[in-house]
Amino acid sequence: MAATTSSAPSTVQFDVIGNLPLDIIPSVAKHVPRLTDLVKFQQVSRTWRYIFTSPVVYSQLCGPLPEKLDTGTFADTYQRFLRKCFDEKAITSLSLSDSRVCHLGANYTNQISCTAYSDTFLVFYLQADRKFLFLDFSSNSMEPQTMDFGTLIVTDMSVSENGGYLSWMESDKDAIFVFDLNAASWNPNSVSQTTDAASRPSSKLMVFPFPPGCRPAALNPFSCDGDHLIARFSISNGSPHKFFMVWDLRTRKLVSKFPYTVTGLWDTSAILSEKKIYLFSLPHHESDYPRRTNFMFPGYAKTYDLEGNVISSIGILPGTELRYNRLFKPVCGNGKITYGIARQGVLHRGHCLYMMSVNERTGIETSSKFYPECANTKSATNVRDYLAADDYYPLQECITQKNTQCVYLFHGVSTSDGPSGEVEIWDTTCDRSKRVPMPNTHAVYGNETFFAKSISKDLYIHKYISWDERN
Amino acid sequence: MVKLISSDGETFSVEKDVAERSILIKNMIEDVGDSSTEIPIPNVTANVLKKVLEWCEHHKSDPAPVSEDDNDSRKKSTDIDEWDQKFMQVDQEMLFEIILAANYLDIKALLEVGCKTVANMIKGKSPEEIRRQFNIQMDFTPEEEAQIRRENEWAEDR
Repeated sequence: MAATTSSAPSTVQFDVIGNLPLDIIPSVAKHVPRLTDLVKFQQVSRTWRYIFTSPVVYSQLCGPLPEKLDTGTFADTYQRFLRKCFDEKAITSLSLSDSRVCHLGANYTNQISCTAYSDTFLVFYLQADRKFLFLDFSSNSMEPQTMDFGTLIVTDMSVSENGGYLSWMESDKDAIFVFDLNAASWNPNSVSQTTDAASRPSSKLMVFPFPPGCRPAALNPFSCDGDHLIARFSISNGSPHKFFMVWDLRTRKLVSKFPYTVTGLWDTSAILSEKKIYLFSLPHHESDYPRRTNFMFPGYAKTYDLEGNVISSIGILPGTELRYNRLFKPVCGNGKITYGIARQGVLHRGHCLYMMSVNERTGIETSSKFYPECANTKSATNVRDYLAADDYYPLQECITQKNTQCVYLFHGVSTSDGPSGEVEIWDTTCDRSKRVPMPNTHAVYGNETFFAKSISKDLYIHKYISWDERN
Repeated sequence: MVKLISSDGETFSVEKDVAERSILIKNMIEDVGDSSTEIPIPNVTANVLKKVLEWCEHHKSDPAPVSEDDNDSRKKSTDIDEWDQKFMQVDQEMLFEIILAANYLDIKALLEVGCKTVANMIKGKSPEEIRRQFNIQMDFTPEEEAQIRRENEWAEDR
């Protein structure tokens, strides 16, 4: 039977999308492979904007919603804990690959306000002493050393992916400092404390002054991969213009300077990896959009080359709610971006975690895994009972590691015997996993616990803040 | 044979296996227990029901649809077979009515074809091209348009 047509095609124009019931729209949208198209559709008309910012549409595109979450004692307590952690950025995790166990002694009672890590190095900033504490896991000595740059008021720091460079900013200096951790003849006492880079060209300390009249971005303003340093700036006079600067660490020369845009208030970060710049952005808090309760916006990842040319622009996790989103440090490479997002929201009551691995050019998921945390009905008041339950422990942290291309989820609780739980390790396809006991070597810093243990060939160090002590 | 009555009172006599492409009709026949009973289709007009039955007739021998994998959320939309492509060459209002009818009658495969057809009409197009395609009036104020453009800037090529 030949197909017949009722009338000539397209002679009568009709807004098909605008008139379809909302619950059918995802059946159309799922055949539009580019998430950025779905965002552009918001510009067609008011009706289309309503449709393509609708929670119904996005939640259906994002896959199954979590089951209704328990609102009992445990969930309430755990939510309060997570809220504090997310707001205060209190949880810090560290992951290193080495076969040795690191045990941090109890001598270091100073408050640690910043940490940075790589596969080889672990660096703390001790706020009370205003000094760096430094561990080199490739050396024979596992003793922590201090790095004496004089007194520093460090506001942000990171260690480059290959472990070679420590970079940081100080509250009273308009510059980014980069220090070569691999220097064989390293002698911290000989390091200059001047910010005048030009006067110390052979120093292992490199200083990259802020451009005049500019200030660095509030969150994760810089990233270093051992070959280049990138930093994000805006102009101090309130201008909305923002830009990247890229320096070559070998020549210390500026490679490029180019603008970028983000809108609204965002949990934004940028990572330099494999000579590409990945700019991530997420809606951060519902107060960003207090009168737009139905407004939902996907996070995004935009990739630039070092000259500022856009390589790709993809939406990540559309339908991300506007409350307490947290983007865990992504891993970029081999054409994939793997990241975790913890979030709390209206649809997703309680906290939950998405682990996603997406194609960095198309944004199409190569894998994903969903963890409806707080769905547990166990009471936190009886830790022993909880530990005995055949269930996940509460998720404390999610980290990804570059060299193993694995995702590590730390499920655990604090007991009188120290932290207990499991580490769940996933490959980035999210289809193979193993679970190993939580490390049990630990040292206590006030209410904070560090623990570390060798698991197979990997060494884990984890900073853990007991949720029951926090409440 | 099964007798179906459209919303505007027209009667269609179709083979049972054609009518049962619709899960709704299949369930109604099972509930009634007598396939000679007239079945009212109150939400579908005669001209649309005729088109839907034409599709069901052509696809009556197709294997039963496999349950959809919800996680496979971004499928290619180009894989519409030739007959279905020609079948969907209708005006936009009829396309809309077919999608609604397929949804109401619970004919998943037809709904899928209709949705793919619409997706093909909009994907990769700019908002202005879409407005032209569907004769949509741009009803944003200049301020709103500027705001939306700012919000969506990241999706542009810098």
